[in-house]
Amino acid sequence: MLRRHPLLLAEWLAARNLLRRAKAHSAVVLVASFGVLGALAVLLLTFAPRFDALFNGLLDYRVLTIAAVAIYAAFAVGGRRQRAEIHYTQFWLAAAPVRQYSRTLAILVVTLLPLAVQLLGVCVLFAAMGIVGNVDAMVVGETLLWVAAATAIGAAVGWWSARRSRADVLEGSRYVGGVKARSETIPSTAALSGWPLAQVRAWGRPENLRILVLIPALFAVQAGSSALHGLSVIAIWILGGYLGGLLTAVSQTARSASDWLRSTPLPFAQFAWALTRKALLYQVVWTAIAAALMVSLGAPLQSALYVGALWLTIVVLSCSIAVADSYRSRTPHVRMILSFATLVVVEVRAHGWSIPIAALLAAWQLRAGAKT
Amino acid sequence: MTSIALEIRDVHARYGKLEVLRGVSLQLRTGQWFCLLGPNGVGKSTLLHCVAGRIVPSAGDILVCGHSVRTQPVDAKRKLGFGCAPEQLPALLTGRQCLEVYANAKGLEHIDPEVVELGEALKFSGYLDRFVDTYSLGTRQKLCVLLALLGEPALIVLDEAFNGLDPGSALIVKRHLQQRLAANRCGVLLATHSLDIVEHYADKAALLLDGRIVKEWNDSEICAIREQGSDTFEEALAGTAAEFVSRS
Repeated sequence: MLRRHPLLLAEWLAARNLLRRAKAHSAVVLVASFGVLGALAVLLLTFAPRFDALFNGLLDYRVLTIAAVAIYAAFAVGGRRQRAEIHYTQFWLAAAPVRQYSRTLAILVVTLLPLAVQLLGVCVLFAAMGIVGNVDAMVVGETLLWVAAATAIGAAVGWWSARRSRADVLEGSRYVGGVKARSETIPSTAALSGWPLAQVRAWGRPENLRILVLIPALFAVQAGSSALHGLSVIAIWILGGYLGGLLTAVSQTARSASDWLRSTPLPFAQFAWALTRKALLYQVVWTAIAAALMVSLGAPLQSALYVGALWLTIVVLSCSIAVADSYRSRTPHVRMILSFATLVVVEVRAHGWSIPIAALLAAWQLRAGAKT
Repeated sequence: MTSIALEIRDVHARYGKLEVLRGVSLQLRTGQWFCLLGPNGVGKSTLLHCVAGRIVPSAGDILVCGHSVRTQPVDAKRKLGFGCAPEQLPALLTGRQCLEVYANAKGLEHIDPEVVELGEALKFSGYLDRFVDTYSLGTRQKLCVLLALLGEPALIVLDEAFNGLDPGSALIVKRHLQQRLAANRCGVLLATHSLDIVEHYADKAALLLDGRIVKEWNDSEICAIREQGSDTFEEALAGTAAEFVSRS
């Protein structure tokens, strides 16, 4: 069947070759897989007593659950379809006589397959949670059914609503804002500190920002809240999205910057500080604003401060791991997963202790980077 | 008096199980233009990345002006000017910001006026405050060359640096490098497929095949080839490659 669909055949061969290549590093893959599975097992066992309440909560607020899952699926599929459309116009087989039907099929598969894999992962996770937490099978089954239905509806909406956008083929810098022309060039790392911020702006295309607004808008309506409450929820959501994006941007730009600057004698401390200082400042300022908004929504001050501190802890630890590992030409993912699993376990066992532990882990990472 | 800008001692490098470099040794003196030749995929870029400290060799050592890339990376990199690939430039920085960050990374207090002048000669000044992702390949290549020349490097390493450059700009860059070499300010290691550069500018050339240097040409041999006329170098290169293949 694949022989009649060259685009799918090319994708399949690429995926197969990737797996074959991974076989060459089977030891690393095995260790990483066991590490992730082990971390997951620890998390499952730690939170087991809370799973019953979690499933019942999801069913109690099923409209919210369905809305959230459907919106996620819609935007995931919509975005992926747009990227796939553009990908195939620039694909190495773009000039080959591939029929429209075959092309659409390839886009459909490439777009939906990751979501299907995610859904399967959620099914397995829910089943494991049900077994470990001794949750009624009917409750787990019903939750899964709603999640699957919401995913299907969201995916369908996302598929039909996605239009090929020319915006995606435009340079990212178009969304960053202009830079003032200057007459002199002075050695400075100031531009490096602005890079993660510019990256977030480049990601903030109008079609991406739609996601940030629509989800909280629906949540606000579901909660039956006042206009002020609704706006506060939207503001917190947008802030959360921005802060999450900024965290991801630090990780991504750290990798690009270290690739670019590896042939220079730039010391680690200078590299790390230059790249993260503005991003960290923005994180502190906007987290404080988000905490203030939470208080205005009725959250106790102590809880708001605690959430803010926890977020900043996550930021510092993520940035440390990302920057140190990028500088050392290593992949940070496994280290990050293990670190955060440790933090979650510590936090559950001893409330508040994850913050000093995270600080220690971050210091350890930075020391490792400085020793490089 | 000339000193050794680069010494590569029996370097091996591998990607997973694939051994790309199998014992490469070469020496480059200050004032020399060394061209590294070879078909695609024989390890030219890998060797250059080893020199730049981007890939750690599995065996052997590389000395930049006497500093080991492995044990004294910072000292080695202070002497090095590496022209990265155009696609590795940061898309969301402007050309000026790239120059500023790179100069700072090299610990410079100011941008060399010579580099600024070269930028003007290359008509790059108009692009300084534009984002890199709006540049054409040639404009990115110009920026890569300018970055490599920052901070008076004693060893300039360029990988296919003339790809995408218009003939006028390529000539300006070649003459600039020649001036630096004539003043014994640096050595140039260039990986290239352009035999024209080898014939007209190189003092030394080496052919890399199957991860090893199988043939080296010195200044007088290159001069002799140049005098014999066109196609001679191409034929010499093809002959050496064919001989190597038949032997192996």
